[in-house]
Amino acid sequence: MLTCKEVVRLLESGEELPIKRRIALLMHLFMCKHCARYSSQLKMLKQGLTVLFKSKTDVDPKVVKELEETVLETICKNKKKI
Amino acid sequence: MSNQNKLKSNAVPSHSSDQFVAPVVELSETIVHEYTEALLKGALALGFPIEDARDLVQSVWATFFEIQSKFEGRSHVRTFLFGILYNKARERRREEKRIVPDEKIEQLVDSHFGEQGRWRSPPLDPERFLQATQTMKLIEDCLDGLPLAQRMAFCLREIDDHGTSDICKILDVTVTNLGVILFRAKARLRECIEHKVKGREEL
Repeated sequence: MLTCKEVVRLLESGEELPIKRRIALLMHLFMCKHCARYSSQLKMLKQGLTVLFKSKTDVDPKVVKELEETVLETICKNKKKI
Repeated sequence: MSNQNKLKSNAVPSHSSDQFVAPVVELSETIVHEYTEALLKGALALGFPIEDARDLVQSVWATFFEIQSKFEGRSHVRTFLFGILYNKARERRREEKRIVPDEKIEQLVDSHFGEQGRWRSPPLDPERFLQATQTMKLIEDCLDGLPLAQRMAFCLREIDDHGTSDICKILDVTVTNLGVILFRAKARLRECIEHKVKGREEL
């Protein structure tokens, strides 16, 4: 039986676990309320962050285009100076 | 990525000087068109308002074209650019670079557990936690409280799906450091969210 600490480490590693480890992990999560909660919290956190980042980075393509033009203009100006 | 191949073929220096200038200008354009959007999204994800984010991206490009000779192709252009973005963002936030203490992740995990390996403060009921993670304002407030390195590590994963080794190069940390950074970031976010959930319920 895995300890809670080991479970937290396994959840953190993010690596694909060998089948035996995975079963041991699931067994622990099935029996231990705290670790099960921890595991679902991590999933929720990830989902929440994905949604947040998506909404924060939702920029108008026009803004990107304008910015690209500004950047290119600046580079051209600097090149001419040289 | 077809553009990547384009970059590579354009980057081959030509012998004739006329032919040399044209690809360089074209190359700049290709790179700017290829990465400006990702950089802008990166800056926004780091929590900069749109005006600041635009300024930041412009200064990243200015620096990139100043120091591009130092770019030796050991990392991907994108990694190099995000490295500059990270440094510029840090300058703006006036944050020190080395906030990553030389810790082992084992010790950090241990700190969550008390006697006989029991949870020191057991995680909150997921139902209550779920509501909080779906409240954008709440999760954003908590995210704003993170040091830049932690936030950047999250952003890079989420935004552009950078791999671990790229993220390490951008943040200039080891893989072990990155593990610690991410663990700390998650622990802080969880704590912050739990704290807010409990605070709300007491009202």
